[in-house]
Amino acid sequence: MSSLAAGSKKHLTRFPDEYIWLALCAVALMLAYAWGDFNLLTILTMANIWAVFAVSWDILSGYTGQISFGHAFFIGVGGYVSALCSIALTPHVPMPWLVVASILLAGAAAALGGVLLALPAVRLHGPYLSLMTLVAAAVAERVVRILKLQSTGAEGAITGLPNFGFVPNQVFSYSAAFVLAISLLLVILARSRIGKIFQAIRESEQAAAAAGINTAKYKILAFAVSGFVAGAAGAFYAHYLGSVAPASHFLLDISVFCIVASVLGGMGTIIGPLAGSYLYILIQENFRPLGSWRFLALFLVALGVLFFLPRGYLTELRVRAFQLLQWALCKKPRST
Amino acid sequence: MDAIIEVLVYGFLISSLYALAAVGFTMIFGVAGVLNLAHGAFVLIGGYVAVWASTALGWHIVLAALVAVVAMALLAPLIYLLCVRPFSDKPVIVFLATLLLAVIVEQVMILMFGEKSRTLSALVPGYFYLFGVQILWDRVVASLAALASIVGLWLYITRTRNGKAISALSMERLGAALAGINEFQMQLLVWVVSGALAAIAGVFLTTFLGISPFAGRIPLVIAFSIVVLGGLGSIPGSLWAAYIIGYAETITTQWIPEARGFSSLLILLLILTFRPQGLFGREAS
Repeated sequence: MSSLAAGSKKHLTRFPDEYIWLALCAVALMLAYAWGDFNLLTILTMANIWAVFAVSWDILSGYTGQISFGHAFFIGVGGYVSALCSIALTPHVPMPWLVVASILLAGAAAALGGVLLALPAVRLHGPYLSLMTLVAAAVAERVVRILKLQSTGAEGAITGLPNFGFVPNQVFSYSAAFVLAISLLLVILARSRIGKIFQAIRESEQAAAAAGINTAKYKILAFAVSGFVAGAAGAFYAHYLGSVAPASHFLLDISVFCIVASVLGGMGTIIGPLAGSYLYILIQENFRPLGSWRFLALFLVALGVLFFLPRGYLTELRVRAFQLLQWALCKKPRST
Repeated sequence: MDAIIEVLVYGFLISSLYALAAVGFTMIFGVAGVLNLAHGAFVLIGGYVAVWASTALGWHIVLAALVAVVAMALLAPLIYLLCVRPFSDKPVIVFLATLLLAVIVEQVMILMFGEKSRTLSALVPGYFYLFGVQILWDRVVASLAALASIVGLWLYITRTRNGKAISALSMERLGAALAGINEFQMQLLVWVVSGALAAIAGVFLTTFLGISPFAGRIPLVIAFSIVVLGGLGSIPGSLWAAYIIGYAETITTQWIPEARGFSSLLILLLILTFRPQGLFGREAS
């Protein structure tokens, strides 16, 4: 298990290079904005939103070791709560605040959903827990399809939500700010004492409990944080699409995406899943004519990464970059 | 009255198939300690190989079904050797690898057979009437074959030397090794059996409902539900649970069609919350 985490490299844990990589990511996004290519910005907007899905998975599954197979549960709950909130709030709240309020409320609702899910889930371990999350997503999807609350589309879809307007540059900058802010906060959280406790629970729950940590409390916290972020991202996605539907929000493919992106970039590093998401979405959107081949390639590469580079491609890159830096500073290369 | 008989009969028929899909899944968990998320993909491959052999090669349906079973019985241990065995000390990697395998198989099937649903002609054509309800012979044969496979498996596990070795392994790995059981051989055997059972289920599900690239997900969730309800690793538990889930599904489909697939999920959620070790299982680990 420990080999999955970047934290096993001690020098990397101490060196806060995550901030540098996040800054690089911000610079790259700004350059893309300055370039201003319509297609590129559209694809990157999508990538930004989906990257938030992946980092929200990572704080629960990569850091805390509670492998979630049903992250679409939080995303779907967030999407639907934001849709219902915007319908209820439209007469009372003016436009920009409406979206902000609905995203925050959706995050809160999904965090609550996370806590409710965590209450039975803290007793479950390993596969049982993953199954629980998978089932929660499937049940929520069924409930939405059956209840059809405020539904204006087919199969429980709600359409015509207030969206960010159709200026692509503007939506892009919102989504970039969203993903960068969330990632920054999660990196800070992950580097804090709480993040260390999350990692301790992942490495050995028994040892963590023996060290006097209330593991149940921290597992619930991890569910709540992950739920909040995923719910807010689901709400953002709903306002971006202007609609919410079981087929866009409660998709098993979203849950699979979170896992594949995190494996590609490096589980348990926050910035790894971020990098994995950009790779995934850029390949998915740029090579559309290849059809299923691109998913096959992505999944095969993810399997290869899982077997041969279990720390993920970004972590490997970080280790090399760090060695280069060390070499440049002390002129004394250290062997890995 | 007709509806009740229909539910009783069809519930029994479909439950037997569910049991078939679930038993292989639970054996792999019990013996290998691996929650094989690619099990739905095994069912899928079984169905598609039969479709391919009967349409592209034009073979007789029974022969095509046999080929599918043999193919999956060979492929499953191969997957064990390549993707599970080398990482046996890293359960999270194995867990994620089986998930990736499942989605890889889906994409391969889309590329080879397209996204449209494919069907297979019935192994045994014709039908008869029981209390005024029309029943296809094919389904009777399917459920009898499923039951026969399970009974055969049960006899094998409880009566033969290798079977007892398998059940010993699932109880206590170290003890089994001390008793001179070759763990590696038994693992391979379990994967062969599990693959073959999944393929049989796949062939019959294809003749019943047709098969599409994402059709492996439903058997996986159903196998999951059954296995959790019955207790992970317990074969009799799976059998009982298969009938509970099968009837729950048939009843909801008959009277509340839009809630189809909901009842088994609800049962699963309740069991996970209140009795995670299942009805017949040992302590959850």
